[in-house]
Order: sequence, then C-alpha cells, then structure tokens
Amino acid sequence: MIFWKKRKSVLKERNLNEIKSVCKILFIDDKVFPVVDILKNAGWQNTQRIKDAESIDQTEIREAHILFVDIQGVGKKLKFKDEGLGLIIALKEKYPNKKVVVYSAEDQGKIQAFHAGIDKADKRLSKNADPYQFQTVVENYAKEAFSLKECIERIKQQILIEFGYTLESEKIQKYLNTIYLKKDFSAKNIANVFNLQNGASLANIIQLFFTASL
Amino acid sequence: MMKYLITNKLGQIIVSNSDVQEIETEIIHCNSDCERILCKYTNEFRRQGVHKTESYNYYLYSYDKKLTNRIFKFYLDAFSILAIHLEKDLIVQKSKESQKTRRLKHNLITHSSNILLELYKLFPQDYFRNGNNHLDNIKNIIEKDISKAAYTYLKILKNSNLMKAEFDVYEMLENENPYMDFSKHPIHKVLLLTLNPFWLDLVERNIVIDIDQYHGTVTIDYKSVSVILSHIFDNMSKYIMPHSTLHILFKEEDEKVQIQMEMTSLKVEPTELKNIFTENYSGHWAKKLDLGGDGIGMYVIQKLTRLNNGNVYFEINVDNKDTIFLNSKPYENNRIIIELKK
Repeated sequence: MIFWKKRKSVLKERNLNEIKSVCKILFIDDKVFPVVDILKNAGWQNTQRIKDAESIDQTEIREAHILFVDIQGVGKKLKFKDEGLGLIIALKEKYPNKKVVVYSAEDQGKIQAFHAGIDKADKRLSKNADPYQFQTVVENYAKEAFSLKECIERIKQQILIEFGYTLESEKIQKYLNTIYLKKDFSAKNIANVFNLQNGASLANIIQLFFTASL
Repeated sequence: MMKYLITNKLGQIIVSNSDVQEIETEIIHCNSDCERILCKYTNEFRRQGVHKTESYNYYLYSYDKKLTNRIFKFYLDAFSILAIHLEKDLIVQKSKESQKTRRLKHNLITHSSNILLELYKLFPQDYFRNGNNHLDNIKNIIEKDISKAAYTYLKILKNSNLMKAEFDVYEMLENENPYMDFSKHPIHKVLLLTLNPFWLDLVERNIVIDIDQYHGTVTIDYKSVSVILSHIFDNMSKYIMPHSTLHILFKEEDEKVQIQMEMTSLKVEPTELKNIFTENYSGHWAKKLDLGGDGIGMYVIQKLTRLNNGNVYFEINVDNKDTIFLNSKPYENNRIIIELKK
C-alpha cells in the first residue's frame, strides 16, 4: 500500500481504515474461532488463525502486531508447560513490543491467580466475550502502534522517562519526517536525529510505526 | 502437637493437618474414642480417638508423652463440639450452592430450549429428511417468509444473550474478587448493543423507544455492565405497559454519568421499595400476575453496579399521577437510574 503519495510530502495521520489495512492480527487457536471472520468482516483484513505455533520465529508470528492466544490446546508442538500460558511467556520474552491477548473458556477469576503467563499477557478476554470487546481491544492496540498522534505521544513519554525532559509534539513530528525521508530507521540514525545518546527504545516505537508503510 | 483428620463415610480424607500418608491410613481404622498404640511407622506410642457423626468421621491423634487419656478425651470432646457447628455450616453452604446451581440450570434450560424451539418453529424438526440438501431446504423456508426468519434470528439472539449473562453472573458471583477489566467505553453504544436483543420484545408490545444522544464515555467493566443492562431490559420487556414510551436519558454530574430510564411499568407499592434490592424478592404485583421469576434479580444488579463503582436506584411514581389500569393491571411512571463513573 502506498501511504505517502509523494516522497516529499509530510507525515499525515492514518485514519482507521488505513490502520486496519496495515495492522496484522494473528489468532493461535486449535479450533475454528468465529471472531477471526467477524474481525475480517469489520475491515481488519490481515487477520488469520494458525492451529499452533511451529516455532516462535515463524513468519506469521514474526509479522503479527497483535496476537490472540487460546489457553487450551496450543503451545503443544513446542512442548510448553501449561500449553497456551507457556507460549505467552515465550512470546512476550521474544517480542516484548507485540501485544498479546490471552483468551479462554475458563473462569476469568480463577485463572488469574495461578500462572505467570496471565500476568505477562497484555489483556485477558473470555471466549464468550462480545465481538465488540474483541474489536475494542484490536482498535486500541492498533491505534497505539500505527496512529501518528499516539506514536508521537509514546515517543514523548519515552523521552520523558528515559532522558527526563519534554519534547514538543511538533518537534517530534518534524524529526519523524526527517527519518522517513532519509529512509534510515536504525537506532543510530534515530539517536542522531533526536539528538540522543541512545535511540534503542525509540527505535522500537518508530520502526513499528514505519514497518507498515514500507 | 495434636493432629486431626476428617473423612467422609467412604473413608476419603476431606481435611487433615497430618502430613504422613502412612499414618493417615492407619488412623482411619481407629474405632475407639481413646486408645494408646505403638505406631508401626514411628515406633513411638500414639494416642488416637475418633468421633463419628452421620456424615463424617473426626479423628484426632498425638505422640505427646505428657498427654493423659483424660486430657486427650477433653480434646476430642472439644473437637466434637466444633464438628457439630462445622456440619451445620456445611449444610447451609450446600443448600446455598444447590440453590444457585438449580437457578442456573433452570434458566439455562429455559433459554436453550427457547433457542431450539424457535429454530424448529421456523424449520420443523422432521423437515430434515435423509438425502435432502439441508442448505436448499433452509433457503426455501427462509425465502418463503423472510420476516419470520428475521423474527427467529432476534429471538435466538435474545435467548443466547440471556444465557451468556447467566454464565457471566455465575462466574462473577462465584468469586470473592471477580476479574474486572476497567476501561473507557462509549456508554451510548454499550447500551444500544445490549438493547438490540430485546428490541423485538419491546416492539411487540408497541413500545416507542426514545434514546437521548450522548457521546461521553464511562469507566466500566464491559462484561458486567452488559449483564446489568441486559437484565434490566429483560425485566422491562416483561413489566412495561404496552403502547407506552421508554425514555432513556443520559445525565452528567461531576465524575458520574447517570442513565435514566423512564417508563410506564407495573406498579411497585411504596412499602416494597425497600425490598427491591433484596435477594430472591419479587414485587407484589409481579407475583400476583405470575411475572416474577427466577431471573438474575435486582439484588445481583446492585452488586454488579457497585463492583463497577456505580450505583442503581429505583424511583416509583415519579410524576405523582394516578395509577393507570390496563387489562386490570396497575401501571405507574417509574424510573431506573444506573449511575456509573466517568
């Protein structure tokens, strides 16, 4: 998809439809789960399901931005302890920036106490949650990653936490534009443009924001 | 140190503070209220005794050398007194649980049979004969009467949602600290999503539904709030006066948003207002007209709204008008208010 029509044009905010077409959603569930089709019908065209994870590096997982993992019946191929919950821990360790949502038919109150995998997940949903709930979760996480406004907001937060000062939104947008025009998304270049000693954590946010438009 | 062991009549251990399994298997053969035997396992003398009731056996034992038979019997007596209370408590718990599961079972059976019956009403069960193409059969039936199919869809939607609400309530009230997932939700949308399944019931009673515009959000746990609203709409469709109007208004006040639902509905006597939020309470007129049921109940609604840091109020005869009688049923203008946090 061509997001910026002209090379020289400035960064624009993505609208929800544009975000829907860049965001990749993956369900890991051994059984057919109708929410996959419901999300597709709602415009999240890059939604798919795999029955189990063959490897933590497999393409579908590597490329996905939001992962939904069923607690029961998955994580078997990689022989994780406690199936889906073990898989979640491995996913969050390997990809701390991906959003991982755990869902199950288990009593939500009862699973909360007994496993670290639950705490590692970004969100927990019941299998009988309304489609509205799944859609809200997807929309919020997708916006967090791919909306220019929220990307700038996250960069601002990160700079404040890591370096202790506030950078104005206009400046951040200007820097992002420079990075985009140069097409160099390395941590080194990002540190350069933002005038920081270390650009690693900003690179996480910025690379994710741009991957979708390359 | 005293060790105890409680078994049921099948010899299965219910609770015990004894950590050695071999000793446990020896103890459960004890039939005396106090005996001193040489323990095969530790090679020490052990005092042991049992108190048996109709449902459980209570065993006590100790290796304490200073213990006399008299003192041991005192301990066992004390243990027996406690046992009576424990068992009473257990019986209360059991009947509470069975009441809860009975209600759940009853409601689930009602909803699931409604779903199947609505389906069979549209597609008769014997319509599916061997060798026929079922998809074509169903298509034919739907094409013959599209509105009937649409009607069936809405009935199924309603009953499935009520079933879901039952599961959700059961899960949430089962737990002392139910899992609550608070986030901001557009309350107007949430309200419409939960109202949709009940739309047909209201329209069948010729109710005009008038919903105020509102764009604000509230901080809620979506699941429990949709249970609250579903239950209210379910009751509303039972108690609202046919050919009347349902007004839903949104009022902001400081950090709160109120959903005010005004309707002409079955009269609630002023004397019963205080009981409305009591568990298992059905209104006087609801009972008289055989409308009160085994539903989730206002008691649960109040509990769930409070878990959402909100509140629920019921106001009767809000405009002080005379009671309206329709088909000899009394109606008044009543108001339900759900208050939620912004």
